[in-house]
Formats: sequence, structure tokens, C-alpha cells
Amino acid sequence: MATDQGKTSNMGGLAIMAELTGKTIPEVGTTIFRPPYTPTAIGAFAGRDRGTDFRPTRKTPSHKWAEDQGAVFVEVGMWLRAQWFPQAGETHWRQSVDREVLATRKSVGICDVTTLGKIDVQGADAATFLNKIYCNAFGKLAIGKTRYGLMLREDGIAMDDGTAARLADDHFVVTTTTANAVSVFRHMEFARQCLWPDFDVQLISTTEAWAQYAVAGPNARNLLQKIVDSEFDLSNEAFPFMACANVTVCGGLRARLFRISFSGELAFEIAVPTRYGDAMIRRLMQAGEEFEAVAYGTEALGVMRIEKGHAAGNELNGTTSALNLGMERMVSKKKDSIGSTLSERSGLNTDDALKLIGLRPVDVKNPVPAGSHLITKGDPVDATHDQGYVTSACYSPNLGHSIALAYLKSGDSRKGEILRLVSPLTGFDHEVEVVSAHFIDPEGERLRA
Amino acid sequence: MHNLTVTTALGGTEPRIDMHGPITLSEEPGYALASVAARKGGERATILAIRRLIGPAAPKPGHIAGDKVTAFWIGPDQWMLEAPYDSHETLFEQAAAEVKGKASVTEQTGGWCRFDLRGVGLASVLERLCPINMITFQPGGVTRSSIDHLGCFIICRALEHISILGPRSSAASLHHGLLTAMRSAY
Amino acid sequence: MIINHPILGPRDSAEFTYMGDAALLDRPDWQAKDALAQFIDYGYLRDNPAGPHQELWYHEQGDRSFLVVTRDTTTHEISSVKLANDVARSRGRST
Repeated sequence: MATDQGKTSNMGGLAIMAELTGKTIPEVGTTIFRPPYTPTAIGAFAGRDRGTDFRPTRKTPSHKWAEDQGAVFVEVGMWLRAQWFPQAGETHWRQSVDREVLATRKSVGICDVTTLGKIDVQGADAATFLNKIYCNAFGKLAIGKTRYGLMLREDGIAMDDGTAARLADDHFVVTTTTANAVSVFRHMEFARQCLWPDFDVQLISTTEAWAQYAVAGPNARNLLQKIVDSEFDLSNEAFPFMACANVTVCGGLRARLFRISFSGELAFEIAVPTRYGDAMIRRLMQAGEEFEAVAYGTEALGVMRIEKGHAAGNELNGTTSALNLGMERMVSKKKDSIGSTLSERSGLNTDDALKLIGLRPVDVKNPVPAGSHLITKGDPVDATHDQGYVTSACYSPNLGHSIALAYLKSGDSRKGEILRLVSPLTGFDHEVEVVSAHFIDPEGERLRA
Repeated sequence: MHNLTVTTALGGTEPRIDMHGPITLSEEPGYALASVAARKGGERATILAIRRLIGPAAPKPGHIAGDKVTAFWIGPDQWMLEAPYDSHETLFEQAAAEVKGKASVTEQTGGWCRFDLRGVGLASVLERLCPINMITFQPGGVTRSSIDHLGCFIICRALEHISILGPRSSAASLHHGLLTAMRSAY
Repeated sequence: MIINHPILGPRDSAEFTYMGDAALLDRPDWQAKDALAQFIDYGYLRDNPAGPHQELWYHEQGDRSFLVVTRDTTTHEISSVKLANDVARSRGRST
């Protein structure tokens, strides 16, 4: 249906039908028309829902601060997030992003992660409930610890991922990705009300109640020690990787601290009540001056997670399973969880199933663009011989060349193989090498430092 | 005490006030919120705890009750508490102490922005914003509905005083929608 | 369309999100011998009746209740609205 709603194409169709059936056009008659019956200006339908009035805009409490820094914003769902922070003399976005990445990995960077979905899960059956929602186990997670969780749809496809922090025996804080916050909450309410109506579990979204900042890099602890009140010990022994706690900051403000890392660096996330978000980011940046702390945006965040080999929305793209993600061992066989049974379907478990791998260009000058397809050397370039596709790509300023994450048939047993990367749309056709998806610190020493 | 400054939902240091025709629209940052959801078997105890917190009986669906500390119904066995921020910054702690594990309490202060509409003829503004029946919507009434795609609580505090609680991150969009409706009505 | 919410009375359907066939309440037992086959039916097979149809509506812009609405697919007439929570219990989902 185009702008005429079929009214002109329809006449041609009726004439052909008349000819085929030996009738006149009036005898064939018309199909049932649907409105609008007469031409109507699109503006009449839009009314005042135009421009930024089309849908609400969501801003984090440090939005004004980011504007003050000259941030370039990107829409993520309805949120506006700082994409990068151009400095004087930077004329290309890559200059800003490379600088943010290098400075974070060298010393410390700060990123607004308020937009991540947050769901308060409480009740005597909170852990039992999370065992149903996540494919991996949460029953034995200790109080004061955080765990990565993978959520499957009932058909066995990955739905979302995030962390669950256990603040008390009967109290968890679950995080979701920014994009899926609403659908995950809906999914959890469905499970609570329709599937397990007698579980003692209560859910409420707290996404907007907390302003949250990631502090990442070798100096993250040194910076946060100036913010978190001194009675809280942030040493590696007292507050190790994946710890979480209620703390106070800046002389008594309640806050939550999580030692989690998306960048692969020693990293923390600090959450404060929303009305203090603006003050918090300014205080963090001030405390970071002696470490030459940088603010980084979603682009640098993306580069660092690709360098670390962390999956994100491009990998959890609605067609991929835990097996594809290389997380099949997380799907517990000892318990029932949403998606656990159907993830055993034969179609999802073929010998040549796609596996998440890393790619580097053979000629380091070449990019590895997302959306490109992978072909075994010597094979023709067609759908039958397709071996997989690139999901996320970036220039790694730490390695000095482009890198990518990709799904490749039997990918985990093809490390070292040289493949042909083809993108008929953009004209790219060159060789790439299959490598580990963990380009940076594969042993995870940094985030446990 | 910490010396961190607060910003309002609209990003200012002072709440914003707009007047148009007979209506005043004010940003109201001075309230603390906490949600209370009864645990299984704790429904009765939760209702009693809410009465101890607010004075009158816990409100039924569609209603708000209380004076300094108020509660309104937000879902089955679930209420939102509201109290002045300066005297009840940690309202959630006060509520948790009162429910004694029979309900789940969550701090919600930062989750919502509040705008109050005051003046004669609020129905003409509200009717442009959401599908609620302004004839039957009386003082003490609360409803949750969608305003410009935003899920909001709409609270009738008096005939000439209505509060709108919306998601804080969209405060500017909500404020724009309310102001547009005021200008359209008058 | 107006949905008569069991707690809140008549509400505009715009406040709801449609969540599909109420058969989704009947999630199979993961330990059944034929669990995989049962889950495939549960996940992929739906009746498509011309007439009364039980379906889930989520009051997303309201009190967050899931409702089981019986709607005639030929007339849109709604003959019954219940809290999904109660329906789930009555179908034995308490264990």
C-alpha cells in the first residue's frame, strides 16, 4: 500500500480480472475500500505528534552536565545518551572516541549508565523466581555479590542479559539492557502473575530512581576512594570483583556500589538517588582530575566491550541462543527456567551451529564492517556457502587496527583460519583471520586487580 | 552531612512555575516516595502498617488517603507512600520499620517527577491529556493513565488541585504536554 | 474498545498491551517424559477460533495486572474479564 492506499493500482487489477473473466469492469466490481476514502494530508493524522512531540524524550539527571561538556548525543530507545565528548581540536568523532578509550584503559574514565533498566526484586521466593527467569542459577548467590545472568525467551533464544545483585536474602537488584528494560519488566510480570502466581515475589522498576555511573580503569579504585566514605573498604580483599554493597558517599549520601565491568578494566558502578546525579558526576570528574579522568560516551563503551568480547544487543539479536553466544554451559540442566527446555531443540544444536568469535583483518589497514558475511576461501559467494556474519565492529585504538565480533559456523574450532569477508552492498572483499573474541586481557586479570 | 546539591526533574536548582489563563502549573520536587507491596500472607499486616503510617485506613483501589504522609493504591496489594522530602527523606526506611518484613518496600523518590495543576477549570486541561472521566474524578481519587505516551499517576487532591506524577526522565516532555494542553484550553 | 477491569472498572484498551493467547498460562512440566514435544506445542501451536477467544491483556499503563479477557473474534464483544493471577491458580499453577 502506498500513498494512494491502492486506489490506482486496484483499477489496473480490476481491469485485468475483467479481461480474464470476460466481464466488464463494473461487473467485476471493486474490492472493499479502507479509509481514507479521499486524499488526506498526512499532517491531519499526525496532529501535534510531530518532531520531538512524536514521543517523549528521556534524559538522565546528568544530561545538562553532558551538554556543558559539548557531548554529541545519540537516541537509544527514547533516551538521549552522550555518544562522545569532543575536545578542542578534535574534528572527527574517531579522534574523540580513541582518546576516551585510551585514557580509560590507561588511567580512568567515567560513563553515565543511568539508562540501564533496574528492577527491584523482593520476597521470600525472590531467588527461586530469578532461577526461573535466568537460565543460570541464582539460589546460592551470596549476599553482597553480583552475578551475570542470561535470560532466554521460552523458545530458547537469548532475550536479554544483565546482572543481579543480592542485597539481602530476599532482595535483589536486577539490571537489564537499556533497550529491553520495558520488555524485560513485562516478561517478569508475566512470569510472576501467570506462571508462578503463588511465589512470594514483588517487582518494581527503579530505573529512574537511581543515577548510575561506571568508573573504569586502573585508577578507578583510587578515584572512588575519594568519593566513597572512608569507613567502606574498597580494597580487592574487602570488595572483590562482583561485590556489591550499600555505602555512603561524599559524607553521608546513601549510594549503591557494584564492582562490575563492561569495559574489561578494574571497574565499579556507583548509584545515587536521581536528584543527586548531576552533583555526583561533577564530583566524580573533580575527584578524577589528578588521574586525568575522562568522560566517555556510548561509542567508547562499545569499543571497549568489543575489545573485551562482551556480547551486547548486536549479538543478542533475537535469533541467537546461549550456544551461539558460547554460554551453553550456563543453561542449568538441574532446574527449570524459561527457555531451558526449548534450547535443547535439535535445530538450535547442530554440529555446525554459529559460534561467537573475533576477527582481525589480514591487512591491518582494512576495516571489518558489521553486516559483512564470511565465506570459506575458494568457495563461491552465495547464500549456500555463507559461513556467518559480522555483528559488531570497531577500530581498536589499543591494537591499532579494526576488530570485530562475528558469528561463524563451528567458529570455536576455526581459530587461525583465514576467511573471505564479503560485503556486496559496500564492496568490501578481503581476508580476515578468526581469533578469540577476547582481544584485551583474555585472562581477566585487569578486572580482578 | 554531605554537601551535594540537588537538581529538579527539569534540571534546574529551583522548581519551575508556569501560569496560563486560570491555571498554575508548578514543579513539585519536595516529596519523598516509597512503594509498599504486601508479601504473600502479609496483606492484612501491610494494610495495618499503612494505617499506622498515614492515620486513616489504607486506601482502596483508585484512592489516596492521609494527611502529611499519604498513600495511594497503585496495584493489587501495592501502595505508594508520599511525604514531604525535608522531613521524610528516608521515607522508605520509616516504612520498612513499620511493615516489619510483611511487605517489600522500595525507595521511589527519584523515579517520579511531580507537577501540580491549580486553578478553576482543570477538567478542560485534563480532558485534553488523558481518557479519564472528569465528572466522576473527585477529591481523593487517583488513577494511572497515559499522558502523551507516558504512564502517569493523576491525583485529585481538591477540586482545584490535581497532581500528576510521571517518569522523571521525561519531565521535560511531560511539562511541555501539560503546558500545551493549558494553552489549548485557555 | 473498553475493557472492564475486575478491580478498576471500564478502562480504555489503549492502556493495555495485548499479550496473546491465554493458553500461555498452561506452561508444560519440564520434567514430563515428552517435555520437549509439549513445549514445542506450547510455544508454537495456537487455535485460531472464529468466536470466543481467551487472551491476555496487560494493563501496562495502569495497575500492571495481567487479565484474561474472553473476546469474540468476530464481533469484539467481551464476555468475561478475570485477573490472570486468579485464572492461573484455578488452572493449578500454584505448585
